Amino acid sequence: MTNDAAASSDHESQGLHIALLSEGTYPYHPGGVSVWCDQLIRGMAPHRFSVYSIVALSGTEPTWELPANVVDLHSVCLWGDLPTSAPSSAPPGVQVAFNRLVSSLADPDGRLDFLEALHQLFDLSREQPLFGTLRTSSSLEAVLEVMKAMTPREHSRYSAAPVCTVADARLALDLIERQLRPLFEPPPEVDLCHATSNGLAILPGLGAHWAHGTPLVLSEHGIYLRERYLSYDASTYTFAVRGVMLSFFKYLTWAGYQVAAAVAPGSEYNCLWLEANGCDPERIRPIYNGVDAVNFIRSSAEPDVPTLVWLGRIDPLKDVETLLHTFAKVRRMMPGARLRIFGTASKQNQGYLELCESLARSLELGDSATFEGHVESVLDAYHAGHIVLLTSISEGFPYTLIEAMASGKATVATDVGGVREATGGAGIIVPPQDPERMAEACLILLRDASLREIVGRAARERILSRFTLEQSLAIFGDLYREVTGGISSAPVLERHQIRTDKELLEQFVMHLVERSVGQLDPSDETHELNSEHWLLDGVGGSSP
Amino acid sequence: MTLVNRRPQFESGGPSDSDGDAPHLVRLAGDARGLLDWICADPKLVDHCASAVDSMEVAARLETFGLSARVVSSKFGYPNVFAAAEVVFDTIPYIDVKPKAQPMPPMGRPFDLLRGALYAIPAVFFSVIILSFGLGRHWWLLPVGLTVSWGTSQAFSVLGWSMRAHNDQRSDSLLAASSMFTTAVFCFVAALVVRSILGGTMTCVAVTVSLGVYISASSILIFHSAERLLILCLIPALVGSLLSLGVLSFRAASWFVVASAGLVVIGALGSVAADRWRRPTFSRDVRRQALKFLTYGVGCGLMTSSVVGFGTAGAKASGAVAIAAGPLLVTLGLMEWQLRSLRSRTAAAMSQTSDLAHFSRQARSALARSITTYVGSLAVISAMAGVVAAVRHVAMAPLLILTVDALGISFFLALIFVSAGFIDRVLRAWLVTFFVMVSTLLADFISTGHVASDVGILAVLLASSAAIVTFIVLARGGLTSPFTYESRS
Repeated sequence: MTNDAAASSDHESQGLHIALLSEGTYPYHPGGVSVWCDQLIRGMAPHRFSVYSIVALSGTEPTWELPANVVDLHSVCLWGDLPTSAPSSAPPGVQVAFNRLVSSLADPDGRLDFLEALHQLFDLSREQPLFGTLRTSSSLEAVLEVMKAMTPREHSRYSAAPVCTVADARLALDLIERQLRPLFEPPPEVDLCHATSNGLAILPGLGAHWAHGTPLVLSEHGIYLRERYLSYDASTYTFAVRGVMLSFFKYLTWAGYQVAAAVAPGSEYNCLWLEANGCDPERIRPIYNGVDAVNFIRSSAEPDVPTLVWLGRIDPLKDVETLLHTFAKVRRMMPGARLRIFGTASKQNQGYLELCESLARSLELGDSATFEGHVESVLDAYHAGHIVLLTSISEGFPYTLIEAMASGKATVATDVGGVREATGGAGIIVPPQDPERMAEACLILLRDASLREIVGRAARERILSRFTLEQSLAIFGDLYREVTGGISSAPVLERHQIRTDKELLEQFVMHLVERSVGQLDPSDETHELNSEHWLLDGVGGSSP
Repeated sequence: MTLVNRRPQFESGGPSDSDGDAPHLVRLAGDARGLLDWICADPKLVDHCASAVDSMEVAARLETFGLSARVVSSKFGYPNVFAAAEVVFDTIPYIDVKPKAQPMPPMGRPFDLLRGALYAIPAVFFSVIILSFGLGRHWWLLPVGLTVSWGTSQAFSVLGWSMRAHNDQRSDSLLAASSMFTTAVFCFVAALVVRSILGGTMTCVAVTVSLGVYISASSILIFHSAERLLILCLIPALVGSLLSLGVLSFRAASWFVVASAGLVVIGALGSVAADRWRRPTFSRDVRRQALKFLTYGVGCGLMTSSVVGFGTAGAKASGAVAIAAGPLLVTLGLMEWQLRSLRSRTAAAMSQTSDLAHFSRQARSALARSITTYVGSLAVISAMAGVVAAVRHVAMAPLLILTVDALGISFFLALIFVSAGFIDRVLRAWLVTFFVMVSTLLADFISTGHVASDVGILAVLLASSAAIVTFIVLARGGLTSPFTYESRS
């Protein structure tokens, strides 16, 4: 037996020591990624986990009870206390490496330079603490130069762009300095690093890879880069700051794809983003989230009042505004209808929650739309309504949707990320940010109990046959063995293998066409787009 | 039922019926016109695309408006959303979408003078207490209470700001109670020690503790921006003090002062009963920072105490000290005003220039303006105090006034340094200050066998001057750096 084989056998018997790397999620915050982390750790009981969680502020209490196989929890704080005064100069070599990293951001071909500079900074951080040492005039000058280079005045596109200011450079430098902090932490000494997202979560993984050769597995639920593009909104940051920061994130996520041994997006659709940002298709292994079927049962009972249910984090990416506009339209046609919104807002999103509450008031929804906060039992929440809605503008493979489907609920969801792959026809899909279309879909389902029954049954069948927790865990277990040198034996779900239940779907489609779509206005040339969004491409399944 | 589409109808050149639902049909050229018409139907999407930093941002936005890879392929003939996004990015001209205006640090305003008065007026009330209990001989009450509470208030404000940075409001009440309790204990111990050396009664100790707790409580209210509540609490003391000028005895007036002090303490403890307590956790850095601020506050208190001590001993009456302290007390609010204006001016400069050298020049100019305004005002008011002292033939007045002015300037510079985050430099300046003061006193003691009060005052003057010189030396490269100031409030 070779040494590698012996080591592999040892791992098989004792389990691996895995560093689970997260940012802004497990174990401090609720949400789909945290659910996934908890399921993964508990489901991989032979393996031991060290959780590295990147948080905004220190002193936060975990909201998840850590499973027994979590060995330790490390928190890396991005905000909070910075050195109160700026050093006049950075240590030798550090300034050169940092300026190289910053300069690469303005270069369309600067990704490799960025990665090398990142590596240099990591090496230097092993020799001396770099906390706060990058806030120098030289760093500020470098950021200002990059900002100017990114908006060349002679370029016609940017002739109207505002001149970047010292305040812009200062803000961008503060942000970059903080985002790099996880790289300067002591790297995990483990058998494997598993990042729950790209971006900042990979930084400890990069360190472990460079210091100890530790393999890195990278899960991408939503697409980190896409969500950064959406959150670095023009109404929040100036063009100069956005330019620098989004370039930083683009190159950082690219770096993650280069170093990771395997990249596991949560859906097939999201592979497009990975490939567009330079991820080798050979390394991409889509792995769908799974539902623990035991926890989700069907119920034939429905509330007395027509009720829509929405469950999730109150977050701009979940587009609660569209939800409220949708409900306002539903209520116009069905005055007795209710909307129950389950979920909380993080501290950072309290403003967004207030905005949504204010919108609900301005739409005069009164008591018919209620923000009910945290819910103990998500199953009870799903069964509290006739249909379950998902209004997100960006998603990976949303738990809300597959759990609701597993509970036998009819769903209306936006066509984002892996939603289409999840429903596979067993649910209605509408374009994002389109309350009109979503309201129409809701009304169809609310008015037709038998249609809800058919859709709900099809949905549950689909989840139980395709997206169970056991399947998901088996694939991850297999992936772990592969990247750590073990021999893969578990079956791996191949791409394009997901299918729909033909019989149930045909029944659903016929029903829908007969009752609803036939009423479309034939003069509306866009009905083709409508029907496409409503009936889905996967009717009958894309059988191999 | 009719489905209403907010998108424009496709014109010729758009997708035909024959290729409408064919997801695998790829036309590399794409239907740019149709795509752009579709985008232009929604002003929000146009804004997003026009202000995008690159084509990937456009792709992200298109997806959130329903243009998935499948739709751009089937409806507009692009191989994927990224190809479509490139066309949009290259075609739509840039529009500058201004971010929501961030609040800038506000300029100083007359209300800041009032805040200064809140620090100064209690000195009058304290006189009522001293006269009421006949404690005039025991000059050490004010120095001990002031020095201890100045230090603890500074330390607890660091802890408070750290908690605010962590959005931790549940610990506020615990911190308020701890601040007052710690101050009370420290004052009690310090007063006992000083009493055993300089003499006094337990009433002296009780008054010292009360003074310390009052200062601690008022600083909690100011920390929570509850200045108006503080003013309301001080009304009884103000009324009592005025009545003591002829209507009421000092003993009767002192009850008004006690009532005010009680109200201030109750106000500061208001949140203790209301909130759930939670034990805060502080990092080692924060604890170290709190210790530095404790030292800074104690340093300020000791300097002030030295003036009070030597001034009272030298002039044989508190009148000289009161006249000399006047200009400093009156300009306490001006310090706050000028500090705010400095922050506001530098923030404005940072948001307007893209040149670091230009920013440094503007920061230097703002700094000079604030310091000149403060020093100028102090000089004018001191001249007026000098005239009053000359008319009343108060002994030692010119030297005392000069000393207190130097002390005020060094305090103002320290305040600027502290607010800029240079607490280490302030501590270095204090080290120089106390070295000069102790050396001077020691020299006098060695040569004469005792310390004369006028030499004591001279020592404080020399020490304060040394502090000013040290601050000027340490200011180089620090106070004109963009890292020193905030660009938003």
